Parts: sequence; C-alpha cells; structure tokens
Amino acid sequence: MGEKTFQFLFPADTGRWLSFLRVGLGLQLLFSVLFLRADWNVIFTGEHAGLVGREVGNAMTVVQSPFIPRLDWIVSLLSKAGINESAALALVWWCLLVLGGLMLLGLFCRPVAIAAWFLQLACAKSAGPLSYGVDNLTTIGLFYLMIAPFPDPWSVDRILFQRTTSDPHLLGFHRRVLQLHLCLIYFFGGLTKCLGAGWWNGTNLWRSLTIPPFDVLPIEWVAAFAFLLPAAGITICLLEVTYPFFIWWRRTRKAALVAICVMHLGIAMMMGMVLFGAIMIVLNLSAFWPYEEGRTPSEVADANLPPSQIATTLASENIAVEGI
Amino acid sequence: MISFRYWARIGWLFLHLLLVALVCTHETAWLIGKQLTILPGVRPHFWNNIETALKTLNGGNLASDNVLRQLVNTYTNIAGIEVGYGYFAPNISDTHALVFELRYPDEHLEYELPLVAGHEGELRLTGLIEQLGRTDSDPWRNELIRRLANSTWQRHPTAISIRGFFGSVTPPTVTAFKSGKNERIFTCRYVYDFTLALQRAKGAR
Repeated sequence: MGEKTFQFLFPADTGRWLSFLRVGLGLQLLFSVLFLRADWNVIFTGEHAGLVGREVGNAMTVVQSPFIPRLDWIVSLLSKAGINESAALALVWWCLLVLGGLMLLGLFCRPVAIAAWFLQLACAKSAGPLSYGVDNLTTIGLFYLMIAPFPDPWSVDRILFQRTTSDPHLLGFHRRVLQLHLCLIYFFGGLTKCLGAGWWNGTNLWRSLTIPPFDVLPIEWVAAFAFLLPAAGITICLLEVTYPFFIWWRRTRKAALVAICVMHLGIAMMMGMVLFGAIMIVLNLSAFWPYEEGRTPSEVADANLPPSQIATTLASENIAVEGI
Repeated sequence: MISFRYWARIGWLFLHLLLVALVCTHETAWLIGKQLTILPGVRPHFWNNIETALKTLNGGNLASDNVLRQLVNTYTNIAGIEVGYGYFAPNISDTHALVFELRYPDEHLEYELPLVAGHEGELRLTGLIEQLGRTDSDPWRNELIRRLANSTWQRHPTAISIRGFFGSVTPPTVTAFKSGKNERIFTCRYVYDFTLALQRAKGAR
C-alpha cells in the first residue's frame, strides 16, 4: 500500500472529534429518552397495552436474524428475577438516561458506549414499524463510538486513570470511516431526491412542510413564500448529492459543512424533527469539524500526552516564562 | 511495514463501506425498477434484474436460516446500515390516515385517531401509518390495523364495536390553497370491522 493511501486512511488525529461525538451522542441519547418518556410504554409494551405491541418489532427482527438484540431478551431475563414487564421497561428507560449522562462526562467510556449501543439498538428493533430514520442514524453513531479507540482527550477517564489517548493514526482512521460513511449517506440521499419530480418543482417541500405532524410553520407562511420552494428543493438536492465532493475540497469544506448543518437545523425547526436534525449535525461536526489535517505529528503527539505530563509541561513552561 | 492491526482495519473498512453502498444502490435500483422516478425510458425488467443481483450480493436471496445471510443481516443491523437513506425521496405522495368509529351500547358513535402523547411518538406513528399505505401485503396491513384498533379499544372499553377506515389524504396544492381551497380530501380505501375478532381476543384474556 502506498504512503499516500496510508496517510489518507490513517491520518494522525488528536481525537477531539471523538470527544465531540461522545458528547453529542450522550446529549442525543438523553433527549431521545426524555422526548419519548410519555409514549415509552405505549411503544415498547406488548400487544395487551401497547400501540401495536413489541411482538411485531421482534418478529420483524427475528426474520432477519435471531442474533440481533431486542428488548425481549432484557424483559425475559428480568422476568426471571421477578421483575414485571412494566418495571423492566422503566429500568431500560432509566439505564439509557444514566448512560447518556455518563457518555456526556466520558466516564467508563468503552463499557458505557457498548451498553448504550446495545440498549438503543434493542429499543429501535423492538419498536419495529414505529422506528424511523433517527434510530438508524443513532445506531450508526453509537456503533462507531463503541469501536472507537478510547479514551478521548476530553473524557473524565483520561484524567481519572491517567491514560494517554490512543494511537493517533487509529483515531484518524476511525474518523475517516465516519467521513466516508457520511459521504455515502448524502450522495445516495441526494441522488434519490434528484430522481423525484417533486424536488425540482417545490411540491415535495410544500407537502413536507404542510402535512401533519411536520406542519410546524403556519400553512399561510409557507404559502406566502411558496415561490422559494422550487429553488429550496433544488438546493437541497444539489447540496446532498455534491456533499462528497465539496466536503473533501479544502476550499469549500467549511461552506459545505455550514450549509448542510443549516439544512438540518431548518429541518429540525421547520418540520419539528429535532432529534433527526440533531443527530445529523452531531455526525457532521464530529466528522468534519474541527479539521486537523494540517497538524504536524508533534502537535498531535503533544495533544495525546497523559494529563499529568501535560500539567508538568505547562508548569515547567510557566517556570521558564517567569524566569525562576 | 504496515502491521496487521492496520491491515485488519482496512479490510473491515472495505467490507463495511461495500455493504453500505450495496444497500443504498439496491434501494435506488428498486425505486427505478418500480418506475417511481423521473428517469425517462426506464426498462423495469433491466432494473429489476439489477435489484435482484444486488439483493443476491447482500445474501438476500439465500434461505432465511442460511448462516451467511444471518451473518450479513446481523452485522448490517447492529451497525445501523441495513436500510438506505432515501428519506422523503424520491417523492412525497399522498399521506394516509386511519380513523376509528366506536359504537357504544346506546348506539351513539364516536370517531378517534390512533393516539400517542408526545410529538416524538407522533412522528413514529405517522411513519407507521405511511407504511400501512405503502405495503402491498394485505395480511400485514390487516394485522397492524387490528392491533391499532385493539389499542384504541383499551382506551374505550365500553365501546361495543370498532370500525376502522383507512385511506389516503390529499393535501391542497399551493395554488388551491391560495384560492381558498384548503381542505384535505380523505379517500377511503379499506374498511375494517374487527368486532368479532377483538371480542374473541378480549374473551380469551
């Protein structure tokens, strides 16, 4: 393998992106469970009290593979300990809340990331036809977090256990995977939009902004600015389909990143899809901001020193500055 | 000299992104094959063949208990890459609605939609209703609507029967809205009477 290919796949990285991803996903997890609090039992209980019943999601999952995690595993395990279904579901809710908090702090990063991924995946699969895009994207984020080289630079783990951040090249590699995955997401998302007439004449935007429950804006406002809809629809198509190209080109990277984040912010605010907008912004910022390609290996190595060594270095620098 | 841990990661990256690309291409080929796009002169047979080939590469044509198929399915699901990313694409067609008519012993009627408490739950319920509208499988739609009717009955235990009306909702166009026609038109496609089945289910419990 050539040096250039290796440098592309394994660029040295400080791992700050991983801190950002961890904090972002921690917040995402916290808000997900808080937003679903009122409907938690309705979505995840069995048919006797749920909306469609957890059995549907379980059956849909088992058809694909019996090894995919689902809530039934947890509920039946807890039932052996005498815990009923309702209490088990409440326990899962609280566990996700606590795991979100621990992720935010960066405490016990690896086990927390694994547990959060497992529980979130089990919930998403058991929700079955009641799950949607945000569940998939959260699973993607948590999957990458779970396998990432911990501890990241801003985690409590790093301070508490005095551990250095992992191999800078591995940190760079894991970020590269996320970057490439996002490029595929946007390219195919944009391509399928480009293939629909409604994105070129504004019909799709009109419908997506006026159909319940996405009709956050008053329909009169949307109608008043209807002349902008075709241009906005085409912009979204082009923004998504050209993302893989403009995000890699250094000159357009910031503009592409800002534009895509603004688009997701717009989706969150104008269509009420807050969690969807948030997860996309978290994934984008983790992948492409702050970009550290220009950093020298020594800068990366300095950033990866253990906290005690950083403190010693800073102290000695102070001593040198003060001339003592 | 590149160590094994780097090579292993390169191998994983290749397979991982290949699976993502396969799933996305499969979704796109399916949309084109079903003639749901603006591509002119589409030969459905050609695109259906491509879709089948991509499905085969993903292990989708193997027996459901095949180890390789289960391995691929397990991996794609745990990594969150089992579906494509064509959200709101290629088109946003008519939406769908499900309305329940509840009949009480005194013969009075009430109408109700499937209910959730929060906005996040509402987004999920909308996704479910849209799936009901898009599916070609009658048994699947019947089963889900039966379950939704059951959930409604739990909130109204005194109702003696429930009838479900499922159909499409056509929203007004921009032009129609500006000319004062802002009503949504509900076109009923299916009527479900679950009374007996639900009573039996209630009796069984």
